[in-house]
Amino acid sequence: MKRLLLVCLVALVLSGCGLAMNAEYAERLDNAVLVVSEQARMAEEGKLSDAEMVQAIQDNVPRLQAFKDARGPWLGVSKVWMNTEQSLLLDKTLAWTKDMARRATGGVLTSDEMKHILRIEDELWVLFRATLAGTVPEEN
Amino acid sequence: MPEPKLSLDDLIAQIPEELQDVAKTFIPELIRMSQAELRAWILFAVGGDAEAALQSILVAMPNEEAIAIGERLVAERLKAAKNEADRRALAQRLLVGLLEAAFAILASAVVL
Repeated sequence: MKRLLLVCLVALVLSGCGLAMNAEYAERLDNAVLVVSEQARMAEEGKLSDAEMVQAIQDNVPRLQAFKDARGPWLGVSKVWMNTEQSLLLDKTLAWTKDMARRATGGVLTSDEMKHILRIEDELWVLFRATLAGTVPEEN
Repeated sequence: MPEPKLSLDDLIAQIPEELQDVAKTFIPELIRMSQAELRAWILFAVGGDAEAALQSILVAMPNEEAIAIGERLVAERLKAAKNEADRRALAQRLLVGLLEAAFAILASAVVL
């Protein structure tokens, strides 16, 4: 009986989102959401030059790549836990982000297209964090 | 006698299950690909490399279409966030039920 209770309590603790991600990556994710949101807002208000928008789009690649490198299915071993659906979405998001960075670097995007890309990246980061936290953002 | 040709559906059925939805989503893009591009895509897909498979599709797209893929990803991510929230709510309900049952058993054992 005691063993059953212990198992229940441990399971209850593990069911929280605390083990979905280690502290370092939780902080990285929060920072990414803040930075990308600020960049998207500034781009929208015309406060970023084209060169700065190119840089902002490029900066998303290593940010996202870090989460791909850290992911894994096993709690305690991986730094960021993801299921198959989330993992596949991360691959697709990274592919898209890399392609946008390639286009931005190649100078083939207009200012409006870059603003649009930054808006999408902002939404993607917010939703990425929501998925890992097991919450649904109110506005999207 | 010539071998019967594979349909696109037959071809998609050959790749890993988790990538079949990706393939179906991008059927128009796959049809537009050259033989070499399609061969590269199939190799990535069969190897389960979703990132490389999608990149090989994106690379040939004009800006407008490629950016629109990002909008599709936002919709997919929103769905994934909802799925995950539902999964966690269900897991928590199950655990609470399990705890209640365990305490009920414990209480009855103490009373007896």
